[in-house]
Amino acid sequence: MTATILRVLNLVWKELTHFIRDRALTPMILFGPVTELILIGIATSGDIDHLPTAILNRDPGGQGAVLVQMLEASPIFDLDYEITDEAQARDLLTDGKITAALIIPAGFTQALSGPLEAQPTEVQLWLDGADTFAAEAAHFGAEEIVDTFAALVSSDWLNESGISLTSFEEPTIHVLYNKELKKSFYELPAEMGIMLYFVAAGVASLGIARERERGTWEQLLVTPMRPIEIVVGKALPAIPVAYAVFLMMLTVSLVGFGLPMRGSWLLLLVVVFLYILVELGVGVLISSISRTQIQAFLLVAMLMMIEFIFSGYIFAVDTMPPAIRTLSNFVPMKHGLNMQRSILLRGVGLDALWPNILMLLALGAGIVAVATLALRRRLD
Amino acid sequence: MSWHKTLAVMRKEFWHITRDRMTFSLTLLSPLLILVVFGYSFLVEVKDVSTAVVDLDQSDLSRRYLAALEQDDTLMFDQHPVDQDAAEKAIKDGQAKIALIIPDDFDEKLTSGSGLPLTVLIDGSEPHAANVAMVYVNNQTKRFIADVSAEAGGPPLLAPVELTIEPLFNPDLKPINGTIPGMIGMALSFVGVAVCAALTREKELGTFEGLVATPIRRPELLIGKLIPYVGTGFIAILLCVLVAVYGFDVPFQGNAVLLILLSFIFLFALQAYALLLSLFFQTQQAAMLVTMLIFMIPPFFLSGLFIPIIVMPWWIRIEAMMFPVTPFVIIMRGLFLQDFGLAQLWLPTLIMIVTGAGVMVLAILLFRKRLQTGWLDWMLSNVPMPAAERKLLERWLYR
Repeated sequence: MTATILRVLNLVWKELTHFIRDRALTPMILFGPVTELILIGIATSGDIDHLPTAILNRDPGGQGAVLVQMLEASPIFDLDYEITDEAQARDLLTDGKITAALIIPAGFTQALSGPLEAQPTEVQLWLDGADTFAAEAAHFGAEEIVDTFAALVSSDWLNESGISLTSFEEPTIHVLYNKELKKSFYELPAEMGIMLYFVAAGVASLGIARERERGTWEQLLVTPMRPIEIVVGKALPAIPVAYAVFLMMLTVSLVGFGLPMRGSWLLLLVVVFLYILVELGVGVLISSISRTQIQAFLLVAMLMMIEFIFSGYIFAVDTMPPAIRTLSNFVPMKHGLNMQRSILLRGVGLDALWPNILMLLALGAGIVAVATLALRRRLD
Repeated sequence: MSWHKTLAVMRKEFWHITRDRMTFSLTLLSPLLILVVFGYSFLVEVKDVSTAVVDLDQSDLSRRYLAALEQDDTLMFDQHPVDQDAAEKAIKDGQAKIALIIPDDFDEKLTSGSGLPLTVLIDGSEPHAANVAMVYVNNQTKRFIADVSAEAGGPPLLAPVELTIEPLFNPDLKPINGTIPGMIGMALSFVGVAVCAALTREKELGTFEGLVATPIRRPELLIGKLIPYVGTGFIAILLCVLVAVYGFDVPFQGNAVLLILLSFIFLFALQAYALLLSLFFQTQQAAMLVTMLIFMIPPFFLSGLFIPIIVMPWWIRIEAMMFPVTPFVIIMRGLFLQDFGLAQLWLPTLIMIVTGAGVMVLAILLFRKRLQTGWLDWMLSNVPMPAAERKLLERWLYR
């Protein structure tokens, strides 16, 4: 047993030396993920606002001007163009100069001073539908502003007609754990999860595939080491690397982007270690079925796509169809992400997270078993 | 420049690609997989959001309100905690995403017109679902109150102004229509990664020496190596377009010839970058991990696919345009949705050509037929410095 450990440690030492010597790879592996995290943090912190907008106000009366003023006050729209006909709006949209054009009809003020029961007056919003996310932001922004404007107008009506205003209430909604609904609070833990997978599985699987491709694998086989020891020794160095990357990313998220840490530090550190171990197993599994580094790499990347969708990287898994929800339980990153988010944002303890931990352990055991079988067949 | 020699390298590289079946099919299939995975995730709507309901009023009105909220399947009432604290705990533990707490004076206050006593708690740790749930609860509540108020003979609560939207180019404003065409460009980054790896492979395996011994010249070698990958990438683009049109029902309105032409330009620009990057690496491991980080993730946020380019500051816009994927996203959207021709697309096309050609020239210049460690070596032999420092640096690099 001691001999085994010593042999494995020797190999770990060799691998770490390789890693430290590689002056192109090492800085990128250590600092690349942190750089990505910073980019993503910046990209998801900001709302989509200051959309370039054109205004076509055909209304000579005062109400159109009021609406334009409200639009101007909103951070969502930048009123860059004042235009005089629809053709201009179409041209600007086609050239990609604006995201939206608001068109206020000619008889706007007049229609609004009419009787209460009249048909609602239409305000048109033209959108660049090709850029769907910008278009959606403009749509929701404009809707809110027009709603506020409508409430203003109708409260004027009601006051004039002597009806008191009581039922115009909205429900009070309290958003917990992320008051401003910041996207970055959702994406930062997700990015940590995916980067840890990338580093752990990538470094481990490419390391093994590399020896194979270059033929140095044979040299390792003629040493007194047993095949399984070689694999373990080759895979282990990915752990300190991935953990260092994790600590850096965590620091940047907490200090740089104000991500809250509401739970237990110990639990977080242990849980992430477990997650890295399982993803490492995935890396070993990949390396057992690929012969060249390109193959290993492409498999890592394809699996990353699957983890992307099933782990709730972009959208929460809980709201997906039942079949996907069930399948997602077999994806390690889903549990990893869920635990990271729960501990960081909601301060959840072990009492609620044990199913995730158990599932992660089971998955890890399964992956290691399959990888061992596959490797044994290949190595003997 | 001899086409004969270029052809010979092409043939050799083509054999490499086709002989290694697994790599070949993975290179072709990974873009498709990305497209399907992301396309699918945009089709998924937020549905069946776990909801904790606390109804302390138990009146007809409160039951009617809850029924109104439950009628379509946005919310799923699957948790019934006893009070607000228990509801908060359910949210904390992740069992519920939203909690509705109806106090015991709900009926009384609502019918007397003295306000709307209702507490809604939403888990903000999943902003997308939270947003959908919030908008839904707000709208349903407004409608419910309007109904109740109208029944009681109150004032008609019609909104005097209504916003109608007119989305050009994408009438239903389907996110998938805006995303899938551009996604093709991002999915193709895999081909770029494969090229970079293939170029580094010769260095790592030592077969590069064999190439050096031949009378071939730099441009001949590089172009010969790239063309087979452009071909592979092109097949991948065609497959992706087919999946987009027939699998995801994204309308294709543009000119197919233009699509083919611009795809080739994009692939060349992409591979010029891959070529340039490959000069910096000695091992495939480094080449692949790093190009993956450079090709896949910044474009994710800078390509305009998810965060509109139009709202970015000018200096980020310039940076974004340097990645060939950004102009290609504009081009693909233009071709698929906007029925654009070269008249509208000349600018992104020009940017792709200029950056691609520029990078290609730079790569050819930097690429030396000698065996070198890449850019470090190049710096070492080209940057003037005193001999003692040079020696130190050499020792640090090659110890």
